[in-house]
Amino acid sequence: MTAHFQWSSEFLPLPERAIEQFRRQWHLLAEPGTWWSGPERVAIADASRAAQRGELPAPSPDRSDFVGTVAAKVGAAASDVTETDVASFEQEGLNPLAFIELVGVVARTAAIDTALRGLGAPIEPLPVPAPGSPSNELGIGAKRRSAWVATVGAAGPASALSAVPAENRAQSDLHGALYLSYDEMSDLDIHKGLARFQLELVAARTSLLNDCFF
Amino acid sequence: MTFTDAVVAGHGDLKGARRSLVDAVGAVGASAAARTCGNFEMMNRLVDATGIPISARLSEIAVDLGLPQFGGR
Repeated sequence: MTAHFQWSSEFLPLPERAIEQFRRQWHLLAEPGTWWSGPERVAIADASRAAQRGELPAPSPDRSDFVGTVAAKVGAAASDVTETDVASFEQEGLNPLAFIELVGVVARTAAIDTALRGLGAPIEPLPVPAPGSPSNELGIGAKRRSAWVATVGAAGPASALSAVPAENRAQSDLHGALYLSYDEMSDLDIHKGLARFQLELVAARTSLLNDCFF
Repeated sequence: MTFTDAVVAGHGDLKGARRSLVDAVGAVGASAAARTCGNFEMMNRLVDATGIPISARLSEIAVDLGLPQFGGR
């Protein structure tokens, strides 16, 4: 079977570390997660992609229509998600920790899809799901603090998924490969392809386009 | 900005914007810009869907700018 993310000289250059990280993310997407199976995770990513194309998620045997709707909202209209929405997801039977995992799956898929578009590469087919059961690993000390979901420690961008440790690790790893590691973020003089101020300009513009004012 | 608008929002001619950016900052710089767009597509969704509040350090600035205390609203 051909490996995912075959890079071509027709695309913008991509560091080997980033290609390896994209492949790692696709491997993780296909594997059983913490609260969702591999087929469920891939079906969540598929629903999110459909919504970002402006389409309704196609029915799937691997997720309910309700889960598809939640994935679509996070994928295509995250800035419209409210605290009331998140509470209603739980009232409708979605485990709050499974919601956190869903957010992680959707967000990382969107990140890679967007990066590929910018790099001039085609969208990557979703991986074939792997069998197996979710781990149900709990983030030690996770509880509701100032965010709408539980976090380990203070709620912030780096801890948004921390109640589901595997998702938090995957997010941190991709963050480092795409932009800067969390350790590198304290270095305002860092140059990684662009100067830091140029990276921040792109970041701010992306956030504005997404109506994200964090 | 033109490149970011084309990548993230589908505004304008992406191929042309990519060529212009490569001319301006080189292919490695343009690659960094594309990856940064991707990273913040991820982070925007994380903070908005989970209701991560703006830190106390930034909340005064947010008030000055007329921004809400929670992302996306």
